Amino acid sequence: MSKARLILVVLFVMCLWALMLGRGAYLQLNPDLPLAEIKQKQFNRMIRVAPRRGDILDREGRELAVSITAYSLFADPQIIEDPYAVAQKIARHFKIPFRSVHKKIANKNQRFVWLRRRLDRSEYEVIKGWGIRGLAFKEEFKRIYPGKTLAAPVIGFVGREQQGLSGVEKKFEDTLSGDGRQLRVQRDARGRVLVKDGHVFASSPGGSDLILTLDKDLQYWVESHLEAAVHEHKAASALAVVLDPDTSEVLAMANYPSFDANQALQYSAQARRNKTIHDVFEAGSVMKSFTVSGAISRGLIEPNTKINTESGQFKIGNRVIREADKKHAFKELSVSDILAHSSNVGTSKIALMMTDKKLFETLQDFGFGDKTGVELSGEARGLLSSPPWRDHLAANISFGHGIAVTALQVANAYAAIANGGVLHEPYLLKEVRDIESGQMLSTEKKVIRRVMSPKDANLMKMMLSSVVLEGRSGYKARVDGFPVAGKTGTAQKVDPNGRGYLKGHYISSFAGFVPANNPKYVIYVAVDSPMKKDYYASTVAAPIFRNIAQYALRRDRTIPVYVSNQDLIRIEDRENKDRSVKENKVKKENLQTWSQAQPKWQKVPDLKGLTLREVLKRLQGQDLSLSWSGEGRVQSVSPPAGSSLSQGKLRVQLSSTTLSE
Amino acid sequence: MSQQQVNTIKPFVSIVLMMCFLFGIAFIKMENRRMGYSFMQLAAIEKDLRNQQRERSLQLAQMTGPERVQFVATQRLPMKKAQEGQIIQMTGEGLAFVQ
Repeated sequence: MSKARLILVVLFVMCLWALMLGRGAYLQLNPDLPLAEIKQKQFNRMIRVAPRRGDILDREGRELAVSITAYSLFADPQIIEDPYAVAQKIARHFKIPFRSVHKKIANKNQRFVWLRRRLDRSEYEVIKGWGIRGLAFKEEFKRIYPGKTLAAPVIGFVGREQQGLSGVEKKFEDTLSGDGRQLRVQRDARGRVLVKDGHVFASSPGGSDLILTLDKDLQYWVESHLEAAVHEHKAASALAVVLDPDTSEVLAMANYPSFDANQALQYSAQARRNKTIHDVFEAGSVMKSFTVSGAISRGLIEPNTKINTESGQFKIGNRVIREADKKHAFKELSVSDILAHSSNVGTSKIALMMTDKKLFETLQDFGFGDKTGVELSGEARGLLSSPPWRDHLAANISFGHGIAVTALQVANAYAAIANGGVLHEPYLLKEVRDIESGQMLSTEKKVIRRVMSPKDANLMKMMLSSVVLEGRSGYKARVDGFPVAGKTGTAQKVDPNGRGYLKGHYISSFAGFVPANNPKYVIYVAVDSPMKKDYYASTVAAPIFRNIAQYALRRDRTIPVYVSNQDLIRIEDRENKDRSVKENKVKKENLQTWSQAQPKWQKVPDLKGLTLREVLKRLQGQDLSLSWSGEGRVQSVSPPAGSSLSQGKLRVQLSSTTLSE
Repeated sequence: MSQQQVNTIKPFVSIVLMMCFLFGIAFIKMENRRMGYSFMQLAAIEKDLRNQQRERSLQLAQMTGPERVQFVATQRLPMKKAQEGQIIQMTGEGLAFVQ
């Protein structure tokens, strides 16, 4: 090839390249707008990434509500080749009518129909495994409440589109739901998302997690005892609130009956109410504490001031105030005894000494007639009319009638007495955790006002402690080892459909705190309409208080205040260790002797129906080798009952039970 | 190789180098795209694993819930609720308290 030809070829190729480069440069430097728009549309797309709803956790980080990925099944009817067969398969799998599925996917005019929303992973994998063209999934989120009914009225629930509809879910909707993201992504010809500028969007944006002040274990304990109380006393309902007196943190808030938050929409609105803040009622004698504290704060009375209690009947105008129980009819009582015996007459007289205005101010100071400010929607204010009051109304209000309150108001007011006289705003939200930045935002306690001096609060604690002494109304609320302060309340229930009270319907309640000398828990319990045998708070509400208080104290290992030899198990100190070892040795020897003294079995006994523990107990002292399998109670024994035990081996088959949940 | 021969093949070498350069650019771009796909696949796997982890956490929460623990203890295992006086509270202060 001559040199000239070679140069020509090179020039030609270079010209071609130059042309291509020139065209590229032209398009880049002088872009054709319509062309650029087509390119943008073809490759770029805006997508909305739905945020994952933040979790709700208890004070120790245990899950109360979580969102997990769910898979929603949809179909493109135009792509489905055999709608009949596909509909049959889907209908059979989900156990739904064939017709409804077929109707959806046989319509070739449509390109998108939902078939099933929010399936779990196992179902997703089964359907994906079918490999049917025209069926696809969209990832969504599903809210799950692992505790089902646990704290359901407090946590609330979400709707079909995962929006909060009640409780904490509703109140903190913005925080929990977070912001969805609009993203501009590039896609290739097959629609696959491309990595742009090295950015990959792997995880969903999320709302913040909420850490509540609730204690899951305590909450469960409270709920299970409310349930037991409702069944035991054949009551309409029961509710309880547990607060930390120093901060008014809500540790537990429960009512029974409740609802399963996973299926909230299947319950009536009434069943879903958080009765501790939504329902108002006349609380009865638990309110006497505030009347007395108001009078003490104003220097009108002292704990040992004697008041004429008129032998249980006191006439105001044309009305007569009576003691609830004839056993409580005394001629004269000290203020401390007025609380201890829950004297209506005594409290009425104190109220009349105070005047209506001062009693009203006292109740207002303690937060009655106003919302407590807890972070939940729909909180009731209660009913507290403004003075002037007629004397009989003032008397009624002084012992908790003619005034309607919420359970949280009562508990919070008692917390003020317990902590030395400061009223706080109760709160449920402990921390907010931003899941992307990891930042924590803590809630601080909020002081509303001082309602009494520490000295007066101590006097109140002392007087309320006497309520649980033997022979007093709150005796059954006492907790072994700890001083308890509190007040019983048995109130007639207001007829919701008219004037007056419902005959035979009472609200039995107990409000108090424990340990009285250094309060850690304020507990308010109320049982609505106990119908079995007794309705008095002393027998209905006080034992529930005691069970809750006992558990709470045991759980945080609070050291007992009252200790008697009878209550204690001695833990040997180091000096006595040798002696205790010797004693143990002796005990062991005795045990061996006793075991050896047991008559030896010659034949296999009938162990059928016993638990493993019972079998082991019966085997004590026998020179036998025992093996077992299964769970539950003894189903069969090998060798069978009645046969000889010469081999010294016994095999027990327990009946296996399966968990049915 | 003589100087003349070198001069003769110089244009070819230039073209080959240029072609290699352009193909190199194309190859890098393709490799970039391919790695992008792998990256997206890994991101999807990571997302799936995170989802699975959340599901496992939820299962754990359900399994260890106080209601279920009580159910298993009393229904599946032959356990009974503690009676009064059966519970011994260890306070850690040298005191064990019967409750």
